[in-house]
Amino acid sequence: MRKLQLIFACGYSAEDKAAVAKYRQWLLVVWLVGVMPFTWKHFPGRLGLAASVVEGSSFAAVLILAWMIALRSGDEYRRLLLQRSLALGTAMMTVALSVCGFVEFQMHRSLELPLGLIPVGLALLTVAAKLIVFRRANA
Amino acid sequence: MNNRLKVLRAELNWSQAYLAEKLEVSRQSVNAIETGKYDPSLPLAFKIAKLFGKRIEEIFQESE
Repeated sequence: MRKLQLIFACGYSAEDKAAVAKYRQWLLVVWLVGVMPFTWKHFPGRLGLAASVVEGSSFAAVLILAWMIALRSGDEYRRLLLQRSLALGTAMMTVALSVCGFVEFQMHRSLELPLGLIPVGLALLTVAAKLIVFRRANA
Repeated sequence: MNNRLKVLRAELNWSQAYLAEKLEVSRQSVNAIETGKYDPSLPLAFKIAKLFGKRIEEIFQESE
């Protein structure tokens, strides 16, 4: 809960809030872009598929922004705590989304969710690469 | 790694919050270092040593 408070800048120190504020508007923008496709997601055909990709992309962008915040805000100990919790969250999300995509495809033969998950998968890879580079640089 | 941060801080009668302010880190960080939950980075260790006017090895020791 404290980590969520930090990400949304509603209960931490001034410098944390300043770091988060820098990214907060982008978080809001990508979230809005992600919410919009819900209205046209259930249209048949390519429109529905495109909506899933847009939705997945915005979710991916939120994930990357959250990581950027985690790697830049607060002091070194806070960053470590944030990285740990985000790494755990990312790993859990990867497993959950993979299972969801697989089940959706098996049950409905629909590509909607699996396609939407591609950008999320790319984001997870980006985050993993970024974390490896960051840890090496700080080793 | 063991450290004498708590002892040194107590000798000067400083609170964790005051030390954190001096080091420009959070109080949570000072607490984590004192309790051995977290080993500080080399720049932070140097900062701590400079603040107490000691060498790093006088504050931080390798655990047996």
